[in-house]
Amino acid sequence: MKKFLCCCSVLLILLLCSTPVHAENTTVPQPISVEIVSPSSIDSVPVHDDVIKVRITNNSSQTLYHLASYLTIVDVGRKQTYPVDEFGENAYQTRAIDSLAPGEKLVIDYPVHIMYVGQFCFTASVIQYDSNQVTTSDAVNVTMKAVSNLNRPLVYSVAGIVPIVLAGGAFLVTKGKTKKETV
Amino acid sequence: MNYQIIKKEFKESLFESKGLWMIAVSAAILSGLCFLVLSMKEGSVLAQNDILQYAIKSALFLTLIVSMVLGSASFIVEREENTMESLLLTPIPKRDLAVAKYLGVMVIGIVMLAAAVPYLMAIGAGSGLIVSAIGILFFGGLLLLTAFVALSIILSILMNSSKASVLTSILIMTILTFPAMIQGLFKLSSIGTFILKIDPVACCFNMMAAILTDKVSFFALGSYIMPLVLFAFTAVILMILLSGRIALKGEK
Repeated sequence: MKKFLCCCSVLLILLLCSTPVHAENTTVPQPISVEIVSPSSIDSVPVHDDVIKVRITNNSSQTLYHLASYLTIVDVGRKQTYPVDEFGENAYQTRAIDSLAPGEKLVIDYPVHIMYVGQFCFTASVIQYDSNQVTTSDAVNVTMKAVSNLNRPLVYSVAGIVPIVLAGGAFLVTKGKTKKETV
Repeated sequence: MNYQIIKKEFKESLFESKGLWMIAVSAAILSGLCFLVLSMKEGSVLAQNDILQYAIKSALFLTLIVSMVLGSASFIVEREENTMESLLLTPIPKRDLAVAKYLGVMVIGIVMLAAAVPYLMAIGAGSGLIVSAIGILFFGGLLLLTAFVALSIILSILMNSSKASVLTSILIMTILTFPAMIQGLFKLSSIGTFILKIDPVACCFNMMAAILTDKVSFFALGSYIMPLVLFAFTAVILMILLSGRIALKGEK
């Protein structure tokens, strides 16, 4: 009986203590939230100029120092990111934020100059230099459609004909000149 | 101005220096590039004005290379073939000799630029950019050609060996073209910005991008045009001033 009671009490203690824990319940609120306010998406043709508005909020209870915000552009189709100034000289400049008070919201503008055709994802990130923590926003989809009226058959035919005509002309002229000189 | 000597130089550039064949070869290279861009996956997603810009850059590059090679060999070939003495014995002023050599090479360059026109017309068909593209090709191209050919003639006056002269002229062109190819952070630095403002090749390329991509009016491009005009003017004046040094042996 003693043993049974002991077992029951141990089981009871174990059951009461073993509260299920899931990862989603343990999310600690991020001290910073980053959000692209506008535009929600871009669907246009090159050359497209736009301003990406990014809102950075300090959710913590203390002032955050030494932050920098930056934009990242991912080319979905070509599987690459883009180097500095490909999307305009201002797009890749980091914006230094000296301090952000608790609850303070800051909106930063990134003018972008899109010249390429393709499917891109724009994201904004904020790095805290003191802790090296990076917070990234959700991506904004950018679709740039081709407006090319490139007449491929015409280009192919010109590319094929012009060198032949010029080489033929050069041949005839030089041949004519040699004949004239021999006569 | 002695027109006979200009005619002689023009004929020499066309026939004896294989100028005609060089024009045909440069057209073949342009055709090869067209085939490459149209068949490549990357090339197929390029906007039409981007392809136009690549075509103009390629045409300019080929024209400048061929013209500089012809120009830098002009007086040295006369020395190497022992015809310099008879040329100097003619009652033609040295300045006219330099100008005649210069014009002979310029004609080849202009014909090469003209050979690129059908490509620009084919690539730009339907974009409404053909006139602008041809305008840039001839405006920027002629200014660069004027300057680079004058520089190459100067080298052929001052140097004794055709190898050294050709190599130096290509080196000068590479150095001046290099800033135009630079991407990235260097362009944003103060030195980069300064070099890009004064480098004539970079100015020509930036002017092209401004007109074809950003649709900026030609009259708002003074900052790009000025270095180009200054470069061409300085090079021609230098050539005329240094033409007095034409001698049997370079610089003697």
